[in-house]
Amino acid sequence: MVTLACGVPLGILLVAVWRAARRRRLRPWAALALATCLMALPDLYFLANASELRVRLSSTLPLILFFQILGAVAVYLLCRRLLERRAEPTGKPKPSLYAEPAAGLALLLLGAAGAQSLWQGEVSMAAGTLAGLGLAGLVWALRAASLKGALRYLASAEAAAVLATALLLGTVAGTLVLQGASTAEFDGRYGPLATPLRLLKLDNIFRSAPFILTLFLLGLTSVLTAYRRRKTLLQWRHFGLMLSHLAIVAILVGGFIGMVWGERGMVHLEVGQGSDGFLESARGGAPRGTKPLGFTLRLDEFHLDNYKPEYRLYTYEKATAKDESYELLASDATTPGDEVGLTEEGSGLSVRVENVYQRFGTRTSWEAAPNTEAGPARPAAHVRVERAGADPAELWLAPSGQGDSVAAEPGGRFSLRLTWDPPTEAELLAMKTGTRESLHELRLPDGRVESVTPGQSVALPDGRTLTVRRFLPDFAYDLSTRAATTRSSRPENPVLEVALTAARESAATAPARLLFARPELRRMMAESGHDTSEGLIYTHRPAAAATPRALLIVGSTAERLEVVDGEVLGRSPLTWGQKFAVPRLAEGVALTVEQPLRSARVRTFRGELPGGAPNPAVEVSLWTSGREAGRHLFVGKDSEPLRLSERRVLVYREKPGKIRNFESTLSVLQGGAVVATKTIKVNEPLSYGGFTMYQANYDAERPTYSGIEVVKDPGLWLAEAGLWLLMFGVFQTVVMRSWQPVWRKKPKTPRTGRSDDAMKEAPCSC
Amino acid sequence: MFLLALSNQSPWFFGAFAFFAAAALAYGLATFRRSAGRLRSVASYLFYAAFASTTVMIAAHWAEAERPPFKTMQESLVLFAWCMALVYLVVDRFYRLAWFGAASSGFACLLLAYSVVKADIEVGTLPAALQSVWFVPHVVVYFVGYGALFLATVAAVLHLARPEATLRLETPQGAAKVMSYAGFMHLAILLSFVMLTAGLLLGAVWAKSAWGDYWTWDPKENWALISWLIFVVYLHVRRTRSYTDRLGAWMTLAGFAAVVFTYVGMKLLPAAEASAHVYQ
Repeated sequence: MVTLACGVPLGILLVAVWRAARRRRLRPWAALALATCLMALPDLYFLANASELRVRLSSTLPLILFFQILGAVAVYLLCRRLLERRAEPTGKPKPSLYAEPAAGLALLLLGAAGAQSLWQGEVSMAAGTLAGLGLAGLVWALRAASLKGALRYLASAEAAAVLATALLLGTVAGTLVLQGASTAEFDGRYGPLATPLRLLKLDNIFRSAPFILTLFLLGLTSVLTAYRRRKTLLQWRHFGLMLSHLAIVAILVGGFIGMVWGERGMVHLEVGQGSDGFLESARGGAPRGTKPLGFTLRLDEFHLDNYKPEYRLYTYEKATAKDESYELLASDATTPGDEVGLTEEGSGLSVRVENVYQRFGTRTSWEAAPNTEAGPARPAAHVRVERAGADPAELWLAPSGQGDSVAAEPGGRFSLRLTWDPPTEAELLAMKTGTRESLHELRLPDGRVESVTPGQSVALPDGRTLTVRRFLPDFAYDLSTRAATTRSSRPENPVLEVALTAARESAATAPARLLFARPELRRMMAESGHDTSEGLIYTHRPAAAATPRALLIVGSTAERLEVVDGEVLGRSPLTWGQKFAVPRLAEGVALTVEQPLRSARVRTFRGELPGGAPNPAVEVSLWTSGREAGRHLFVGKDSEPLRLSERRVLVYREKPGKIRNFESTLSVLQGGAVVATKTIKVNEPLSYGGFTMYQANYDAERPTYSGIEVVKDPGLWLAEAGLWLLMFGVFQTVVMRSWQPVWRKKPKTPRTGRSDDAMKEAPCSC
Repeated sequence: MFLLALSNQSPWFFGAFAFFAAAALAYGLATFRRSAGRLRSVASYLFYAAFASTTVMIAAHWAEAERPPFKTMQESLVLFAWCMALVYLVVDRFYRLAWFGAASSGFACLLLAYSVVKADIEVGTLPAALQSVWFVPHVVVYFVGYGALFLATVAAVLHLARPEATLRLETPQGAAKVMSYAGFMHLAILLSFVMLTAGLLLGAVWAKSAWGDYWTWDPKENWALISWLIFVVYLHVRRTRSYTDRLGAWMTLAGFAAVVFTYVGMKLLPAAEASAHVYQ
């Protein structure tokens, strides 16, 4: 349909131009205008039917315009050429050094695209036609000029201009069309245009036959130019010009060698891990499998280097109250006393920074207080716990259910408790919990709670059967095997794997469902849409410790009781504020108990904790018309945003771009022995055995991972030499030849008629 | 938002803008008078002051950000103004051309004003790939090339407007010389071409050390290549018989358009999301 829409007006146009040109009635500019108008017809068609054609206009319109302009210019040049020919008084028209070669080249490039399609097995009428056109172009070119003549032409400045223009247009097309996309994405974006674009190889133009042919011809032109002017090679005056042409050849040849014989891929490493192969990637394409390196690459260390982290207050705005996406308006540092945030004009609201914290935290302490109506005060004691090989801990002890558990390694756990009066028999008996297995409880959709063990089956109210497959005490998902596994036997993250089966299904083949005991993981699964629990709620009750040990501090009698499984093993007096050990309960633990308060109430302190963990926070005050209207506290990255108006919010977060650099210490091993070691980072690769290893990736979530890109490019030295030589050659040419009149004291060449003759190069043989 | 961004600018910015505007005015007046030696000198001094202010502004920002300030759109626009002024200063040493002075200072004003439109909300850090010895040379060389190309474009426009007009030059030898606008355009293009070549190739060398590939057919790279190829075509066509100054002037305009697109138009291209070169 589109072909028809484009083809018919084009045909009419060509006939009209031809006839007008014969009668010499049509002026070239009129022809150009006519051509443009007629070629706009398919545009209108496109615009009118865009939704029906499922075309994304934003991506196709620039493309159509590009071809339109190209076509219009071509038609204009054709008209002019035809008119000039008609105007020639003598019989035989002189061929142009631009128009005919350009037309020939265009045919040749179309032919190359067709031939590539046929070569790749995409046989179609259109591909055949294109290939035929190319063949016709070749025959035409050889008939018009001999091979020698063609080679002589290729060494001319005209040929270079034509080829460079072709390369330029190809590159423009390559940036207008999405490159290297998958078939589905390409079809979705370009609709009916996808097929012709693919036929012209515009979907991957930089690696297509027409593009490479153009580069080849450009290289050939450079070689022929250098060859024709070989006698001037060693003259300093012409040296730079020769050098730059040879350098272009070097770059093209180097690039070609790299494209054909080069290898490129990724090595994904964890610290301590080695690899003797790499995951090969086609240039800009999908991975193609693993290839050997010829040595072993080992990651010894990985380090993420950060800029100094900085938390700031950001004002965001959304266009309308209903809009979802916010735009960043302002960013403020937090300096006490400063006004921050960008409030809306005329709202009368202002926000001021009051307090800034580096290590914000909450600490509870107890202070003597009588019973009040709010509730009874409780006894409390301050305890200092010192452990071998660990930092001392300070804690407040107050009588509550389980007491504070103090871990001591080795020697197991014991709990520390405070009572004001000596414990009664009943209280001691309550501490005798005995032993029991860990318990799995399932709450079914109908509200029943079943206690289950692995291997057991339970009938569900909807007729299906639930089978408990296994218990994973410390659940983890193994990425390499894609299977659920457990990291340890400690119940850190208990998960029950179950299967739900209908009447005749086998429980062995049914898909596994994971029931998480930790509520935050349950919520996370539900939010990510991976929840398969169907409303079953799993509760894990861990096994009680085999020997529950406790140290009981008795406030009124100043005693300490060592209790194991409900039995008082030792009873000794306690001196407040003096350090003592508890060898029967745990090795290497020393405690200091301060005089307890009989009647105390908890007091919470929120603010800067000098010894605490880094936790940035800021407190701001809100002012409306000169009066303080309230305060808001931002703590860390998850702090609640402050709403400034319907559309604006103030957010506290870390300044982006924190990562300064990332570096891997790599060792190269040959036969088990380390032969090279280097710390690489972005911009500082390591080269060994023909491969160069570049620091490519990191994973902020996995600080031990490093992604290394490995590249083997046998043409690199040639291309790199070409780059530097081209830079030098161009510089030398311009300075030596063109600017001489500017910097030389006395002009060397006598001035002649044309204004810029002094700047032009000396005439040469071509 | 513009006013807010304006209020965040340093005093050096306002100094530079005012001096550039005054220089533009002085140069503009000088173009209307045949013998305006003194006015042109005043304009030159204003231009020097503007250049000095811009230099201090960039240096102060460099010190504040603790990195070369050429990363964001705003920073690069200021650098563009500075490089263009630098090229004009060199030209001004040799050739006193009021038209070019007026155009350069006017364009510098535009660039500075646009840099406020594109103002950064905060001073960002430098990502790993940009921490390279090649960063500063690559960017500065390119913007010097752009600056020279701007002068060539002004010459091309003047040539197209008045093809027969010539300019009187005061060469370093002290002798006055007559030259066409097209001739001047060619000299400026040569400077620009050397710089574009160096920028393109330094970029390739840098890409090799940062990404492992000196050419990735990234849209920005492609458009830099396209701009460069336009001048390759220009230089070759110039050697043939079909060359006219008029054609050369049009090609210069096309080259300038390509450079402007390379600089600010990348977001319009389909592969822009994946490009490593798009300014934030």
